[in-house]
Amino acid sequence: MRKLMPKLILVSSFLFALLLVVFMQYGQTEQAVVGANYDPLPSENCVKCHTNATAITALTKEGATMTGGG
Amino acid sequence: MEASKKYVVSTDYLSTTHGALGCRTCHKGNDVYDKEKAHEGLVVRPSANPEGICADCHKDVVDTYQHSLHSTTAGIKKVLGELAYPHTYENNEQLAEIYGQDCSKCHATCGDCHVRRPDSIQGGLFAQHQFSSDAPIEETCWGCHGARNAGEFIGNINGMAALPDVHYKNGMKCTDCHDVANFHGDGTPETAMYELKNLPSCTDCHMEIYSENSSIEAHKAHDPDTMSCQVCHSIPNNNCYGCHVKAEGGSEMQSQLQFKIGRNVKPDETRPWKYVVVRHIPTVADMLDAKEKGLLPNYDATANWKMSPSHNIQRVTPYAKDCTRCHGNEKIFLTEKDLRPDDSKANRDVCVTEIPPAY
Repeated sequence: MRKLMPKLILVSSFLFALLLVVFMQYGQTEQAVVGANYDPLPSENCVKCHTNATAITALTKEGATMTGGG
Repeated sequence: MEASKKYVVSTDYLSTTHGALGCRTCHKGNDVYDKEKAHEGLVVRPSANPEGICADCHKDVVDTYQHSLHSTTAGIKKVLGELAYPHTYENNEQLAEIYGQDCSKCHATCGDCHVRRPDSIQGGLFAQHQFSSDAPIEETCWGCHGARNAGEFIGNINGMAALPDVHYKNGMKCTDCHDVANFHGDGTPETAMYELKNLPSCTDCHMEIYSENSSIEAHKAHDPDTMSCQVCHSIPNNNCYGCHVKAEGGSEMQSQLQFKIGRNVKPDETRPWKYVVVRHIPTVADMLDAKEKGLLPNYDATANWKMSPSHNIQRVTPYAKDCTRCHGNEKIFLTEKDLRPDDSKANRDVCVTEIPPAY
């Protein structure tokens, strides 16, 4: 058993390291999918209006009622 | 509808994965505090381009969706093509133009179901730009299917109050029965609703109805292949007559709640029934005459009374209270007396000629 211990520790360390690499890689892939293609374009002014219901109402002329489709 | 219910974006949305991309990443335009200049070059519907921005992150879904009926409207194209035969979209410009102008507008983009209302209910954001994989029926499905199945399901047939489906009354939604593949497709090109492999069936949940354990006498008395569940468990559905193409000279459309049982003209392994509930489809032979006379020479080859998977299910209906409501009662069956002069001659195959005898 004593002879086997170093080997067991070596194998389990290797497996642990392998799992760690796999999980890290998976996390990076998820991040890459979301962010890699895009550098968000500045949109502060869009947000200023579109999060403000009063501003939207003031800037838009609407007034119809809801109807359904076919 | 007030503008604030269409164009306001919630501050919570800004911290979501989509919100963090910034408005202009998808919608373009300019980051200036002037409405006109800010909206110059605006892309109102970024998902209108199937190869566009959605595909960058959701490529697998977009690839599958491109072949679905919701995306291609191939079902409409196929039926219109059958009515117009031997005219084809390739050899008749008018036909191609009509399909492009009217029919193909039923195409739904990713955004039409996941973030905005369809144009038929005035568009706009249904949840202040929060994306949803389980959007409210009233804000999405009903916008396009409000005159028939979605309208009957929620008890609002294009604004007309009706008795809702028992499943809806008990809190169920479209997605509780319909698998995501019913909306997105499974990647194979689809040309008709009944071709879909994984449409829901009542027996998916109600497995015991025809078993020996059933306590319902009517279930024991009928072979499962005799009729669809709707024959006993649905109520009058919405039937449209005339034409729904809004062209000058087109015939006026009328709608009417009716309950008619017809013959299943295409029984198959999944739908083996002899009797089904039917619904009138708004087509007439001259409906495209405003564009070109005689554009539908094959009109009489396709019935405009169709099998209806009515979505207004009730546990007990007036038509199933006892045997006499159906047996010997010609009124609830589609017969030649019900056909109109401008109906397709193919409807004769749908008509019931031998009424089940009275006991």
